Amino acid sequence: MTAVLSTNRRVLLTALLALPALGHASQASPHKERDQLTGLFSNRQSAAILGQAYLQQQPEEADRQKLENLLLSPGNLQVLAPEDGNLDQVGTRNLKAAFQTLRRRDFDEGNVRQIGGCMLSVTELRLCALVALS
Amino acid sequence: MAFVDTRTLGDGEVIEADICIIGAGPAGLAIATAFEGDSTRIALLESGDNGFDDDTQALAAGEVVGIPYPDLDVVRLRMLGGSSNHWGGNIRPMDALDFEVRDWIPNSGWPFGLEELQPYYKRAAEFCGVPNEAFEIASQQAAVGASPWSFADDAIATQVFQTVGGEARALGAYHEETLENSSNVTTYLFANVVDITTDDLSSQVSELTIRTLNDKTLKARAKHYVLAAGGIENPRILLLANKTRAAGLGNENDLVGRYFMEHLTSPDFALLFPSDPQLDFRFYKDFEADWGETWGMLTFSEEVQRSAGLVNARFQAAKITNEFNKNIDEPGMQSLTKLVQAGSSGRVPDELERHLANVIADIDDVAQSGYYRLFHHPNYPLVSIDLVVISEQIPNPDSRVYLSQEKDRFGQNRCVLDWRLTDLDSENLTRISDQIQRQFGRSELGRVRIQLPEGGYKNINPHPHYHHMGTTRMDNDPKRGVVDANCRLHEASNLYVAGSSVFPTVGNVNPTLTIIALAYRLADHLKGLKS
Ligand SMILES: Cc1cc2nc3c(=O)[nH]c(=O)nc-3n(C[C@H](O)[C@H](O)[C@H](O)COP(=O)(O)OP(=O)(O)OC[C@H]3O[C@@H](n4cnc5c(N)ncnc54)[C@H](O)[C@@H]3O)c2cc1C
Repeated sequence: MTAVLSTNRRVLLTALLALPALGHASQASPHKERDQLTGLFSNRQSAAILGQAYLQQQPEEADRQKLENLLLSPGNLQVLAPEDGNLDQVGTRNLKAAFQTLRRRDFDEGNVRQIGGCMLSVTELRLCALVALS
Repeated sequence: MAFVDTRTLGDGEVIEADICIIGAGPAGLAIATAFEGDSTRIALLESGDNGFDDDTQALAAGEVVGIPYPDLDVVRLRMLGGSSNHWGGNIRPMDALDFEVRDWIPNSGWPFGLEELQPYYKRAAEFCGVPNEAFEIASQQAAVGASPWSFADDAIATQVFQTVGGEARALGAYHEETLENSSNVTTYLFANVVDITTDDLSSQVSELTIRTLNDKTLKARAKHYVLAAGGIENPRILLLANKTRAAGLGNENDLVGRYFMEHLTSPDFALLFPSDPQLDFRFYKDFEADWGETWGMLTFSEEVQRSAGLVNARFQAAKITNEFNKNIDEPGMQSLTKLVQAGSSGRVPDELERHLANVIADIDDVAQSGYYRLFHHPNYPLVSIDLVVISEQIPNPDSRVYLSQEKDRFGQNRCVLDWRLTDLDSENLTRISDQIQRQFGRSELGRVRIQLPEGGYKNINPHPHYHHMGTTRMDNDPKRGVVDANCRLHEASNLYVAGSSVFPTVGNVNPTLTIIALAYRLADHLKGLKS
């Protein structure tokens, strides 16, 4: 595994799994702003539940490494880290925005799945699935 | 000339006029009042009274086969003003695309475009006491102080609907004074037209036969005749006029009564989870106006309808549920276990909605409303909006009105309503669902959950709107239409049809504003013939 790839995986997981700091939001914290933005999902249980539902439909993706590879595919990296393909410098806020772009692309291209009657983008479901497996 | 109680006229008497109009519902009223003050003598022949009359109403009974439908004497009214005495009053012009030939919709296409009806829509709105500018987005924006939602590439557009309220709601009563004071319009109440007599070739109508409930028979003669008796009664009267041709008047190509259409609604079908729990939906809520109510609704852009091959559909934000998302905080993976179990049996538990609300809000980055994170973390409030879907039905020759063996009190065959949908209608509902979900998702406005009955789209029970359309369709080709672009019967050159029975396709809007606009257009045509 190249150094960039492993960094990217680490960044992705950190963004997904870092505990949001809201429980402490009322406390003075020099990193309050950053902490609040940490974590793509503020409720990991909800994300995990949707992820699990997705994996039921796509059991072949029920593998953390596979999901990471899919989420960090070259096509996705062009959007996530357009400069050099390295997520390390991107920052959670930008990462979130980039994932929004990917999600919109999914809807445009019909890369979507139905979960309980709701149409969701495959990218957002893969992120949820990663939470479910982590 | 005012009102005449036809029961008081002599048996065998003949009513003479320049134009005889059969039916004083919105269509007949609009035509008659358009001639008000003119030198043209109008006889407006109305089956009912200016109030409800049980015996007259009983004439509206009929049979229902096919898709279940409420009784036919419940879904229309026989009295001055017709069904506008119990209508919802919701009005809006049809869209430009509704008039076009759409190659993905069989039998679509009007003989003219929206621009032809525009000036008449203006007059129709006035007829209903609604100012024209009320349909404009800017006017609604100013009135409610809120803006419509913005969709990526304007794939979904917002339109403004009006609900006629107050005095204007019952259109018969609203225009009664005009009729009362008219010098050239005579309104004959309790005048039941039971037959249309033509020459031997059925190319000209020569007279109408009128019966009253006190057993008098009269005749009415005019240069021109307008049949404006409603979307079910118009074909019935033509089919009953079968002395010259057994199949009925105007029915040489077996089209009279066919292509019956309704608007299709499936309540509790679509649920919107907005990404932002604070999404402003004031534009879409009923707003009280001087003339009634006004509200916004959503519809697919022309481009989306064309590219996805959709029928025209609209979405109304109905019930809004706003509940703090508290239950989700339960510790452990209880819900997950439930979901997994349910998933294996193909059922999804209700709390999925709560999880969706959380995930969608996160992913669509409502973080600027960090309010929720600060005070309610980690759960967002659960807001869901019922989206009522109302779509057009695809013209279907097997969906029809025909004569029953049962007879009414005049010995005339009652009618049978055999309303039918096709697979194409359910396929369209699938496509509509797909598009509404996709467009909300890509616009970062939320996600739409479709709730299908067991068995899927085919088993959706369509909820009737009491809009009776298509049964004497308009087309310049007599093989494809009962009336031509001027609403004149192909077969008899002095008989015209007014009402939604002439609609070749029906768009997603309620029909009456278009009925009235077409009626004004027909009045202009008749005035043109005179000059
Ligand atoms: C509950 C309900 C809610 C509705 N809500 C809406 C709405 O929100 N918006 C909308 O646009 N539309 C609505 N509609 C439909 C609307 O009422 C009709 O589109 C409209 O009334 C049709 O007008 P019309 O003049 O063509 O026919 P009608 O209103 O049916 O009038 C026909 C007239 O002809 C008379 N007649 C019938 N047979 C004879 C005969 N043999 N001789 C003499 N006279 C005869 C009848 O007595 C009647 O007065 C609703 C209908 C119902 C029932």
